[in-house]
Amino acid sequence: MHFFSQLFGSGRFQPHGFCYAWNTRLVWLHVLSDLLIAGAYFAIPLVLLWFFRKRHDIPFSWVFLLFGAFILACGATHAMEVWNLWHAQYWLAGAVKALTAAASVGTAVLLTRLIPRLLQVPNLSEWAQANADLETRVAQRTQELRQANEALRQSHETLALAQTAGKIGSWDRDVASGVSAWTTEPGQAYGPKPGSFDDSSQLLRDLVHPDDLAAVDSAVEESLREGPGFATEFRIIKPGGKVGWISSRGNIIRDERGGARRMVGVNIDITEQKQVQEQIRSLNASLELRVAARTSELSDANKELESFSYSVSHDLRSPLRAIDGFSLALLEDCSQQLDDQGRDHLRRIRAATQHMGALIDDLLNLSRVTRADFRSQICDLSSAAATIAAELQKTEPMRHVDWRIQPGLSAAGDCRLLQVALENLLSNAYKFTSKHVSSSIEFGETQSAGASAFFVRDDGAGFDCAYAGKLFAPFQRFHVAADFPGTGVGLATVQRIIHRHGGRIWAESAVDKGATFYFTLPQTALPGDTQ
Amino acid sequence: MNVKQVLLVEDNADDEVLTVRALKRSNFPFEIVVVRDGLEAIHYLLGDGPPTEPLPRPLPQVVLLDLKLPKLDGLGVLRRIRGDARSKLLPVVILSSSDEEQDRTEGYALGVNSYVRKPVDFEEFKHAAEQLGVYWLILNQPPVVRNT
Repeated sequence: MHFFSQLFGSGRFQPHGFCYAWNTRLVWLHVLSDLLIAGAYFAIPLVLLWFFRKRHDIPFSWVFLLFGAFILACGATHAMEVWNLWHAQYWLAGAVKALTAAASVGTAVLLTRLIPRLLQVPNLSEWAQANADLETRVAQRTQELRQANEALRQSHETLALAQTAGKIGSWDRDVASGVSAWTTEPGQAYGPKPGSFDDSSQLLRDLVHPDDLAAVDSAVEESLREGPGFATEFRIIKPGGKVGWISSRGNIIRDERGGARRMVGVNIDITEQKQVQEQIRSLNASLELRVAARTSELSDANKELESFSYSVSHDLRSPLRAIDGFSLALLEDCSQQLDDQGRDHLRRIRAATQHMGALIDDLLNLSRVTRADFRSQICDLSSAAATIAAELQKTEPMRHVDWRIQPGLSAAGDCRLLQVALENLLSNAYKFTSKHVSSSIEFGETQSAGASAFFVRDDGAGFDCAYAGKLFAPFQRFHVAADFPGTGVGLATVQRIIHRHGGRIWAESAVDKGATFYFTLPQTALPGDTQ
Repeated sequence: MNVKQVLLVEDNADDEVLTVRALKRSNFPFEIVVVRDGLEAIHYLLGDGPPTEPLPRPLPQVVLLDLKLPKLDGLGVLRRIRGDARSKLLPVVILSSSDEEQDRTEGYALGVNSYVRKPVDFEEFKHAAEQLGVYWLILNQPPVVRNT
């Protein structure tokens, strides 16, 4: 209590006006000056307080608050000066002064320590510069963004164009919510307008052909469970009821635990491709039908030919046998009644029937060459030729023929048919050299026009090349039967065999200069026709 | 002992005369029976009753069978002969104008004993017939057939 009575008491001191001898003018000079100072000092913190309420971004705001407290304290000392003019409470004035001193010193100390940090606060021009820099950069970024946006827009346009042209719509589906969205216009062909759709709205599934719905669902579900994605094709029913085809591909986007999160993909309208495919399929089917029909016709024709050949074989030979048989019976039984001329006539009848028989046999062989099944394998032509040569030589052991057969020749083909061809060529050579005391017959391989060709060469009678065109036609003969007997069917047979192998046959010759027959057999012999 | 018998199944009268003439030239006694078509051949060999009935007559030593026949062709006759227990072992020789591979193959598949092509040249034919006669009538021992 003593402290407070002393603090707020006036004790034995005189009021300060006493010092001014209560000179009215001097007192009022002090009173007014101190009151103005105090007023100003009180106003300053209020202004600061108002300022801080408006601006929250001022750094080091506590310095200003301290500064405000210091000024407030200064204002209080001046107010005490006025008070002390009439009241001698100097202890209170001293206490106020002491508080002011503490605030002043504290503020001064803290301000001093704050100076280096305050120096770092940019000044106004620096702020301006920084602002200008920032604005330039913002402008730059804005420009870049605008360019990027433009590029993106162009790219979107190109994509949209491509997707429109390709009738492609892309979509994005959130697996958890089941909400899907077209990200690109699917095009008029597909039907639905772009925008969100989900399973409950059935917007997409409603379009899928009922027969394909289960397959589409299972493809999607399977890919959601384990696959990286799915690819499926299905039919849709377009607005208006037309059926279209869609190829749908989707990729599954999974979270880090492997759960399916999103599905993104494209739906492509493949109606036209499907139509073209269907056309091709139906064309193929009709082609196959036509091939089958043609094959069946050919097979019928072949059967007819076969039965014709069969009849020829049976029925043409029977009368010949009768003519020959009864001619011989006449010769045997009635020889006494016939003169030499009669017997000669009968012999001629018999020779003619036998020639006719040979013709029929050769014709049958010729038709067999075309009809027979083709069995392709590797044939040893050299040893076949050697065997044929030995057989021919046996028929006339006294003849001297120099056989030159190149060893090691083989070819792919039907060995039985090639054997027939070689028999015909070699026996022709043997026949047409028969008038020479000694002769040579050669079988070998040579190069002709860049391809390998086999040849049979003799130094016999030869023929005039002017008639070479008729050489391979049936029944064409170049020599009178008295010189060289034959039916004229052999070379026709050879030509058919070579043609069935896909090869060529031709001949070079001159009268009395011998003849050379060339033929080619393609490496992979394919039958020219099969049954 | 009975005279050995040959059954000739031949529809062509010329061929019949020539075949008989050729066979007759081998100088041993045998009888040639000629039938004109396939059904007649079956009738002669097996009769018209069911296979359980006894055969109408003893089987010939050999059947010379043409292929092209009216009514029932040669291969059909062969099929019936081989399909009947009473005649399935009977020696049959096909004597045909044809040497078509399919005829030969089918003939042997049906169990023919021999296949001979009739040559156009009658000298050859005579020779063939003579050999046939010697082989099938003299050399060959036919199977024992019990007439049930």
